[in-house]
Amino acid sequence: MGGLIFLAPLLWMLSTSFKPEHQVYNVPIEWIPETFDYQNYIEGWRYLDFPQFYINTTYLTVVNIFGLLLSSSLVAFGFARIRFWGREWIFLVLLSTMMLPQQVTMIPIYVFWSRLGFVNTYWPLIIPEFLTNAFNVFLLRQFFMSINLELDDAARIDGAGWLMIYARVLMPLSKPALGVLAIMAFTWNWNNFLYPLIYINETRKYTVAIGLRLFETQQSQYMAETMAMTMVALIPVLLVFYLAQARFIQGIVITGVKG
Amino acid sequence: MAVTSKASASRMSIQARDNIAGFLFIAPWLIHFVFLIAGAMVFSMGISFFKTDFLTGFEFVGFGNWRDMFQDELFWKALRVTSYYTFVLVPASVILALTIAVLMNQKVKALGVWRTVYYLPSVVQGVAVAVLWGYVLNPRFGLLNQGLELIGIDDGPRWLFSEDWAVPGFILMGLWGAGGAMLLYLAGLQGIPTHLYEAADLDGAGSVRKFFAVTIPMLTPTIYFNVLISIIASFQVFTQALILTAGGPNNATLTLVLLLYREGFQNFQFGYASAIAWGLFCVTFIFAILVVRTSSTWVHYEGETNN
Amino acid sequence: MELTRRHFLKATGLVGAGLALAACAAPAPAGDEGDSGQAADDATVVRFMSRSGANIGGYEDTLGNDFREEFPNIQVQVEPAPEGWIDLLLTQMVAGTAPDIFQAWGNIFFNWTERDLILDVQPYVDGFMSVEDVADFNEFQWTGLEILGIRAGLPKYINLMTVTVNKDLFAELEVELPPEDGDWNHDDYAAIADQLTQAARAQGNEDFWGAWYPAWNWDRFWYRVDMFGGSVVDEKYGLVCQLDTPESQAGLQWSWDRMWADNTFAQPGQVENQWFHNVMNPGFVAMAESGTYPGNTDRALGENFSWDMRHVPVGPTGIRKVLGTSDAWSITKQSQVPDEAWEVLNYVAGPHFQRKVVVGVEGIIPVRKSLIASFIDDMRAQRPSLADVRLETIAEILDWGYAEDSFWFKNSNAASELLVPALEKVYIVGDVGPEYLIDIAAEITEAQQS
Repeated sequence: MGGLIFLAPLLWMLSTSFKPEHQVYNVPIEWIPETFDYQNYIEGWRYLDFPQFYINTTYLTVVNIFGLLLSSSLVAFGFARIRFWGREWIFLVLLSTMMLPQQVTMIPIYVFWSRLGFVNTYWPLIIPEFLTNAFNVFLLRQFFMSINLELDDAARIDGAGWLMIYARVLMPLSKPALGVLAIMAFTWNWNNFLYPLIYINETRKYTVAIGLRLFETQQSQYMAETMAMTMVALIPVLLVFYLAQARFIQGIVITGVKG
Repeated sequence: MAVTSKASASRMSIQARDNIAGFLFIAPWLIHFVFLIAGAMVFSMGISFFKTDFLTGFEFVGFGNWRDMFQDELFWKALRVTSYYTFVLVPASVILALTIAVLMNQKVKALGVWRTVYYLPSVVQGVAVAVLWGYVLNPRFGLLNQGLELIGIDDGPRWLFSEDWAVPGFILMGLWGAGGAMLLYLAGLQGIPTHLYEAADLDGAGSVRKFFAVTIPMLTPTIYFNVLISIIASFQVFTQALILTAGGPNNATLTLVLLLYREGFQNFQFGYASAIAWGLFCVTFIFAILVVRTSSTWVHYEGETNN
Repeated sequence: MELTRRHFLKATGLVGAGLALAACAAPAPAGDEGDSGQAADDATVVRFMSRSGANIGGYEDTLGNDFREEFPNIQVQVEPAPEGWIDLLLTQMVAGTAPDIFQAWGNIFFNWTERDLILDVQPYVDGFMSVEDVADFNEFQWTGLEILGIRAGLPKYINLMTVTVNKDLFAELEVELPPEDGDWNHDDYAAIADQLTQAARAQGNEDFWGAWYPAWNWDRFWYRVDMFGGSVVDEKYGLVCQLDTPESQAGLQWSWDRMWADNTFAQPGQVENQWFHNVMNPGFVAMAESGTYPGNTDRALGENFSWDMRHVPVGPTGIRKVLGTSDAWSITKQSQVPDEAWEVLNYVAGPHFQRKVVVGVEGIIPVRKSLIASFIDDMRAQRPSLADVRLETIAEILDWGYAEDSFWFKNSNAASELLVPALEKVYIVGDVGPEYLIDIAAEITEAQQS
């Protein structure tokens, strides 16, 4: 099964996380460590306040998923269902905002937030999510456009405005897409590295992703420890995904949308 | 007040009302664009005409940076490396993700577990994925070459230590992360109305026919999304190159973003870095427009059928 | 239409409510951003960017307590700097929100001094440091930090190159260890690597090489060139690349032959390449030229086998040389509180902080000569297994004075753009020998003139 090829590096990561550093590179590969060594997992927690990092990250992630779902679905609805002046051109502009690498926009945007006095707060990490971004709008728009337009017309005859159509027609039919968006938003926020790095200055406000990076000092790179800490960061994502996918993506049962 | 607004509203044409509604709906993104993104984009465009380190001053050089860029061997090298990576990875990952999604939409034992297995790699990020793949791709004892040995290939490539095999190594790394796209296809498969399959059944279509006549056309909006997003993301490949190879060996993995990162954050040539970024923008834009323009011929929106 | 608009207001309200919710429900740190700017009690805040990774707690403790007791009017705010800190610091400098103190090293200092980002601390040194105090720093670091006419900062710690040896493997393969007193040369080095490799092959072990030396590394290839009487660049002006001279070529060739001719030194890709203890741990090599971080090294290696450190062998010209880094703390030019920042700088480079944090927490070599003896004792008290490791080697390197900071080019960006890929081609890909660098040297020189 092809899955095994995908799985192999993950399994290696898992088994390495339990190995003492000196057994990491043994040839041939030892898939099951001789002895299970929890040291790598404990080590990180001893130095840094990881529970606080988890609280911070969870907070940011939950708030941002909410903001992103709300704003993305509104904007995507506008692009997908309403024929307004300049729609195609504005959409092209939206797509093009993804084509400039963030390395050159990072500094001006940072300057903007610092002039507002928002450095070392979570606002630069939250507000943009409440205003959505090209990736998520594009994603939802594609799903919204696949939903039969006759539904809109029918609702309109019943006297519904656009917002009613959005809330009563589109939203209920888009659960899988919204679920996927939520999963991706969760993953992205959980892992986000660059923005917390430049906007957060104090350890107590740190997120898990940047907290992990504190383990790479100039003097050392402990493979087993890095793998253990990565596992620790990964487990919430694993759980959330496992639970969420069963809820949003049913598998063989294809939900009917009869127009 | 209420009377006048009501009166004027009723005088408005449907189109005018839709214009207002449309802009109101997209307002959150418009605010984002106007206040944060547009300024930064215009700014970086502007400074591509200056020689500047952002700190000691701005010297107007006109098209100087752009001319330098076209004469810079490293820019062309980076463009070749990045294009090679993009044009192999994008089709390969679209097909791989689609295949996995279709498989993961069947009745398989422990379906959730398998989906998680495919999805998780796309979640392992940054340094961890680099450290992990540094091991996977090690020529002597890495997972990949040990695996190749099992199927009889004894002298596997030197991967990241070879000028020829470093980019293919990166492409494999990229394919490992195809689970994110798989998730989107899975969601897309959910939206395919069952009556289409029923109709196909009535026509006596087999499962292969159904796949190409129903599943694929109905998935084209998602495929379109993935193709476009993958092109944009692949042209900006950066982190692996920075952490795993630093662009080496001998610039074999010097990607465009790595080059502009170096020029900006290491050499303080932010004007030149911006020129490269906009060069990259133009290249991406051309290919994106190609996809966008041709999309009407192959992307099928159920929502458009009655228009 | 009415409906739409009203609902829209509702939706806008919802977004607002969401943001308000974010503000209220924020975990403790997010709410009280007001206090980070100034101390509660009118003390001056000095922002200190720490590159100490997970050891940041040690900095917070000592600067928050010991330092504060001595300087009640200065409050140090320690800010973490994970990997990616250069992007962070540069962005902050552009925006004018940079911390007062940061840590960097040679290349970066040159680049940043050119752009006037670093405060010259020489006036403070002249005003507040005694002659004895200055003499307590190591000469190579003190001169290494004189950059483009300014003193770029005060040293943070010392890193030196030594040969780390796996004593168990030497015993197992029945090869004699290199001498403790450093009385060996490059022929001995090559011979020992060869004996080790042959002995392993005789036992049927194909996954072993005598030694490992990262000759492709910008910071580490040059001292071997110097030991053979060559040099990377003319020392005075940093303009002429001299890798084409017969002496330089001989040094480059020696490294290349070990890897690519007789392969008694591991090639990149034959071992895990990035960190020397990952090379040594699985028993792939018995010797590795590497930096000196005794605490870390012992944690990584000591539980696996008994290890030790040796002087690098002397070159054919009688010269012995290694990289000694001058990592330092600096004050940013834009600091609004340079006087207070100087107090902090002087403190962290001073004996108390050096012994308590740099040695005690980080386990690395202190910058004070007067602390070297206690450093060795402290390290052994910290990790008893270091009793068998000849840490005195470190004291001898400093005493004999053969450590030096890396070379510099006038235009180091232009030089590294050409030299880094060339070194990779010669030593990582290995399909050309060091004569490839002859043409490159000319190109580098040309790039320096323009």
